[in-house]
Amino acid sequence: MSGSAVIKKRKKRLTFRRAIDNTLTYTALVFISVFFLFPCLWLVLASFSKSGSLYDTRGFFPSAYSFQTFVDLFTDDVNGLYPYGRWFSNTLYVASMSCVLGTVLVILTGYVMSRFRFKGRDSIKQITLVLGMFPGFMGMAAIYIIMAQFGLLNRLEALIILYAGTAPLGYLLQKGYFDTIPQTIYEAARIDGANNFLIFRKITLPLAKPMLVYTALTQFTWPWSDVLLPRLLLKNREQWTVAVGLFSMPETHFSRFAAGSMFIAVPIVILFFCLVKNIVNGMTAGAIKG
Amino acid sequence: MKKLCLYFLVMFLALSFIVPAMAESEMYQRVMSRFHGELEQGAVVQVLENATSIELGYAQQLIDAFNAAYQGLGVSAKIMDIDQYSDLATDGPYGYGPDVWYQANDILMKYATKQHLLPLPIFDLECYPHTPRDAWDAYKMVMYDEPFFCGVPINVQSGMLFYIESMLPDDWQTQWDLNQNGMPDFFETFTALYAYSKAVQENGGTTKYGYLDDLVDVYFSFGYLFTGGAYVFGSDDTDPADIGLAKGDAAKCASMLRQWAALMNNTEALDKAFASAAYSYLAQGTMLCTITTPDVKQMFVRAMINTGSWTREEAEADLKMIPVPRLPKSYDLTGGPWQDTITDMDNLTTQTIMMGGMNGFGISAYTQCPNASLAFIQFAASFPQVMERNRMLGISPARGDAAAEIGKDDATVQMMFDNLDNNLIYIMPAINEMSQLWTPGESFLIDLCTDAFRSSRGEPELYTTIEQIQAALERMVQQILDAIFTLS
Amino acid sequence: MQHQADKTLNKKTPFFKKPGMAYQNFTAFLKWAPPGVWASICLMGAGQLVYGQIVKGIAFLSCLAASAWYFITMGIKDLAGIFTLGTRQEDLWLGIPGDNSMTMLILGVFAWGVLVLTVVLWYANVRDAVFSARRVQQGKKPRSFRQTLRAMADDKFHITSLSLPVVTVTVLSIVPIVFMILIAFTNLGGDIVYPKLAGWSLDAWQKLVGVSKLGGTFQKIITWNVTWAVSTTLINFIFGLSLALLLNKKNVRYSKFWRAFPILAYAIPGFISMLGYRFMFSQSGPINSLLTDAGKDSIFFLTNDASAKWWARGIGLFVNAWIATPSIMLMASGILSNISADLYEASTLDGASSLQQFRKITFPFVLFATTPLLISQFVGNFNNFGIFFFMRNNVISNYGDYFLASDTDLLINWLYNLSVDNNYYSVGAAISLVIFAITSTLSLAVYMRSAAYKQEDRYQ
Repeated sequence: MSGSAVIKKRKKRLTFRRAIDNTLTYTALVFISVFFLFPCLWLVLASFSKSGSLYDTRGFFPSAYSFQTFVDLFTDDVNGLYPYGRWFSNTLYVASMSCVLGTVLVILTGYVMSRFRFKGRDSIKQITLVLGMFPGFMGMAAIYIIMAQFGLLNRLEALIILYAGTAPLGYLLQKGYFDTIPQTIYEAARIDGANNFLIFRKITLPLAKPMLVYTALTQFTWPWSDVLLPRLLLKNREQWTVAVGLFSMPETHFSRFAAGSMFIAVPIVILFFCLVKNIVNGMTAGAIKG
Repeated sequence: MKKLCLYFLVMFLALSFIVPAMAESEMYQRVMSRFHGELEQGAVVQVLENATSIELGYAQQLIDAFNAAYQGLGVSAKIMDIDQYSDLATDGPYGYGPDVWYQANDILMKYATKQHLLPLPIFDLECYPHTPRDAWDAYKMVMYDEPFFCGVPINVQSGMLFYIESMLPDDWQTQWDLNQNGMPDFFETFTALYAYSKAVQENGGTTKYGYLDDLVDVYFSFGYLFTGGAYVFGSDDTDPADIGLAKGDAAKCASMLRQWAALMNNTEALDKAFASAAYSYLAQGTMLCTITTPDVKQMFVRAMINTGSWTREEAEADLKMIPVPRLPKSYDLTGGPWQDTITDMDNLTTQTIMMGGMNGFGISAYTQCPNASLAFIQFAASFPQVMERNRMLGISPARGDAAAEIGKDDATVQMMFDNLDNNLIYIMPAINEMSQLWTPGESFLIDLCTDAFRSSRGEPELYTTIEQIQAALERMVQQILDAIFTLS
Repeated sequence: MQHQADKTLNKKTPFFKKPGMAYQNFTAFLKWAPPGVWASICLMGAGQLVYGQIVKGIAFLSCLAASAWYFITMGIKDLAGIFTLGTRQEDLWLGIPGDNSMTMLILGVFAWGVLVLTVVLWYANVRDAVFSARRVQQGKKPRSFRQTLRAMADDKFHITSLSLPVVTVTVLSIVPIVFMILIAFTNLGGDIVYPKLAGWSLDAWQKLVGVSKLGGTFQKIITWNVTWAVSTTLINFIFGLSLALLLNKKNVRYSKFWRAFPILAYAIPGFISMLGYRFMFSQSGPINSLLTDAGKDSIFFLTNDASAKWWARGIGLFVNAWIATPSIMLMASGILSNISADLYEASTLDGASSLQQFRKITFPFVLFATTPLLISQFVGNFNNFGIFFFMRNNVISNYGDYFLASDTDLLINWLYNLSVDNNYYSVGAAISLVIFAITSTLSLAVYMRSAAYKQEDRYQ
């Protein structure tokens, strides 16, 4: 056998191996895609189902399709039982307000905890750690009474205060990110005479953009999809958020549930796809450093 | 002599005035003093109705009618758009929650026993003489050593058999009407219904199943136990330490539920979610009949319209609601030929006692307008409004005159009313501990009914003998006792 | 960097020493104190006014006024209320007003918190006056308002920015938790709820020890809870890592396209996924209707039958994997891109197979980098309230074996059942304290040992 023949044979074996590898890889990819896509597809199709109830369909896919559920969602609130439009604007209000306030608070906390050494820093660190280990809703009875005392029951503002006010407890991720910003940058700015506030505004914030985006996103999605606190604090159906409303829907209104879910899921999905790079950055930085 | 007669007459008259006055003790008057009859000017009565009544539009109709009738009197009413199972105990003290609340008596009484609902001056209400004593007793509780009533009964809730007339088998008049009374035999005794269901499932018919139901729902299935002589709490349902669910022939009766589960051989019967599936299933012909409460009648009608085969009028005429069949005295659905239970009905069968509830109105103890609220309840409990509630929702009224009026066209409603009078409806006990019954009860029913599936899964069957079922019932009773007393 | 920050702080305020340390003898301090300091000791904000710091003085004064107003209108009553928990029972029927023990407890905690805050403020005000006094002694002017503002944006930046978070977290998180801890030592709950009055007692702890049903349930649930937390964390981790590796493979084209599917699952709010899956696996749901149409027995997936135990647990693992693996994948792929390509090249030259590369380079690196993540995932899964709350709400299976719990419930779900659904406040609080003791010792120990905590300053 000549040398070139050996190489040829080797090449052939290589392409063969590669072909097998490719087949396996793509089979796996297709399988995984179906695995993740199918339930979503099922919900989307269910929202277009002509008959509203889960029991009218055999198997996964509705027998007849129509847009009616989407029209009903906004025009027919079943005598005030499911005022979806109101729920949606409530949710948007709560989520965006908590997002803005919560992000400010948690970024500040993370930054300060990362960059400053001061008396009480260690105790703050330990206290937040300990607080995080208590089961969250054990305080629910207390929160209910506190909000009642402030006259905030049945008010969306109660939720905003709660979400934004407790957000700083999760500062560790942000702190981890700020820890990775090299201190030489700060020192240079310091020599230039910038004060701490300026440094934060002019240097830290622009550098922390991925973290900022990630934080804002998590601060938005949490109120956007929380059920427990709104269920506790909001009484009137008109005041509910979408999550509470969807939770209250019985199987007979299954396609209403599915259609309602679309409006709550689609904006988030779009946001995630637009910001996926920032999310990965934010997550990784925070995760590695903890 | 004349003087003496006069003297006795005066005495008699005086006594006849004093006796009713004595019934209204000082305590009673103190408690009722807030109901002085003057409407609170500008009050808006917040009314919490149940979801079905809102969905079908009755609640709004009621509010509109009240507002029209009380126009110019300074009060109005409004639907409160909070969840129908509001927790008055946590909301009330902080100023939230309804003024007037429509619910089943067990839920209302759960709050009343802790004083979150007000006792009502029922003897002064227009509906008092028209409503049987049993209905009022569903809201009775003893406080300060005196009986008080915390609700106004509107409608009787109890299991009824629903079917669609046009779905009956073609040959029912020749094959299934032995006594020639115009009622299919399989709706008259459970033995016959079992035989019919078996025939349908084996040979096919207009529907896939004869009778299909969620057997694990305590509310409907415990009727079997009550028919066998069981009871919930002792001393007229006031003593939580005495639970009588394993008493009498309860175990034998429960074995019939297992027979049903084996015949149905359908796991949906093991999930309470079936209740909401039932509307579609009946309309689609999955089953010929099922048992549920009258207040959801219109949900069936809606499901029938949704299939496209009925118009509203047709659906309303075609859907039938009748009392549940009789149970065999042998407590065995397969014991003997079904024909005997029809021909010798009185000797071989007994009337089924169903668990029932009394839905009605209560007034929150946190209300600022008790008199306006009472006025609203008076209005809602009035004859025309009860008639309207029946028309729009299909409920069975607790008012005798309304029941009699509707009974002219719809014998069932009158029957339901009579059942209440004849103690064939076991009204849910009005004590707080009742809330601990449901979960252990359901757990027992699930365990019992799943037994039918165990052999096909290769597991040993657990409830083949009456003794085993008896032991399971006793375990359930112990669990209820545990739930009531462990942490109290 | 921190050293530097500390240094600047010391450089700028060399004369500032903590009063407690500089004047070890308290009387010495009082002897030294000039009138301005005395004014602040007597009346919050007065010292600042003496030194001409009008705005600051008014700010302190108004804080004092607010606090005084609070204590006069309700605070003093609340301070005492926490000890009695109510003395007069309300009679709603007769309209006799009375006390609400639960409200009194929480308002008491709140009032004591406000008292502490007032004392802290007072202390800060005295310290501030001392600061000004020292400046005056050194012949400088007390800080002007503008200087104060500047200091707040610079030296005291940490105080400025942390004060709001500290207040909100205190009111919304610490007060409720203190309240919960206190509740464990009352007899609140069960029959004793408003309008009945509660009192301080060790009832809950006695029940915890004495009632065997509680102990048995606790044991069963914690076994499952640990199994759940370990297995779901491992499944998610392995699945997420393999996903990342798969998408990272060189022969995968359009990896962004393929990555979109897991991200889709990640982006959908969790409760929608969970509720959706509940519908999918419900007794009349699509899977069971397909099974029955095919002539097979339908399966008890999530219902309350005893046989559903392992189905429901399995579905829980499955759904949690569906929801959580994409995030692990994203993190892992972020970490993978951080591994320097040189490592792989060098090892390829040395003739390492791709499997060897994975074992020797990728896996150790990823494992090292994600240890903190694994811990937090573990803790999160240990307390994963949502999954079984949404999927098996109102379902109680194997009732006889558990006390007020279902066989899939985690400790946190059981606590919810006890304290929120059944109002057994004190017992629930006592159990949660026990759980807290267990989890906190465990995770604190792990956390203290973890590289991230120890190396915090070394990284910089």
